[in-house]
Amino acid sequence: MFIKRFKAKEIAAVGLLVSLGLVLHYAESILPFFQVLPGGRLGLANIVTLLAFSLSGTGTALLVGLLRCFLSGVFGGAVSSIIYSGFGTLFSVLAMWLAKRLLSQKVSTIGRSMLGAFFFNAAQVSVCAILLENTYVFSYLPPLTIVSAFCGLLTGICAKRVEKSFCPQMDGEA
Amino acid sequence: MTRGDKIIFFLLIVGAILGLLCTKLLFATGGDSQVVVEVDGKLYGQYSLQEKNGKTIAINTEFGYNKIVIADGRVMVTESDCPDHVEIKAGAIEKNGEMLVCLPNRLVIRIEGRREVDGVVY
Repeated sequence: MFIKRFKAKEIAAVGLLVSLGLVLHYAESILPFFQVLPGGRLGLANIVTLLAFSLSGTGTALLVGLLRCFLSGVFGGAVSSIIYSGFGTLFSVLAMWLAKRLLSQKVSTIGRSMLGAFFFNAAQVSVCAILLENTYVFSYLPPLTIVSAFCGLLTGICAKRVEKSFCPQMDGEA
Repeated sequence: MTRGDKIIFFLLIVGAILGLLCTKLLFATGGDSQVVVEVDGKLYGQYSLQEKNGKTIAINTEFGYNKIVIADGRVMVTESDCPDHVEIKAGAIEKNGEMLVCLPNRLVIRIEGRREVDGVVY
């Protein structure tokens, strides 16, 4: 779509989205009020992944998501978080792709956002369980899922609004 | 918001609540939790925390005398010949990892069992 025509344009768009994601990630980390659960985040930065997905496609979304995870890990000083959020991003984009393939028009950006949020957490907890060799961490998934469903809903709505102003012709599109 | 979105939201919430219930059942003070009693660092005895009618154990050793009661999935010390009675004042313990200690009598009572999650680090 809007970035598929030119290679340079695509690179610029990915760069723009990644940097936006980094800024959102940072902005979110200094918001004090959103700490319902340890490890629970609003996930504002995922807006850019969602945007990349609906404006360009799975590949771009994966690229933007992984780059953002890597860079925010490096900048944030929490290098070990790269492996968690990296796998989270991988699986959440995969889930979004599957949702698009199997359900196409029935699920909009908001639904993809919630699915993505869930799979992000599920992958994160799984990686944690593998690394710690402790399956009890899975008991943390249900409360995390409740929080992530609401956060996913919120970020999905945000992403949809941005999408509309980015390309108004997508208005009717799911 | 499409119908599909609403269904996803609904499924996630319902799934999470089911998951919560499951973990409550699975990880609640595990059915196989054990009360471990140690005297002077050596194992004195091991008892199931799930005593139906309650169990009273008198511990008589060279270090002193204590009486502990296991009932309703909880353990407490009811009698002691030590001077301070700290372990009696501590009340009852019920969760894995909790401890009652009587230092003068070198007695440690600990609940062991399925490990509960201490924390998740991101």
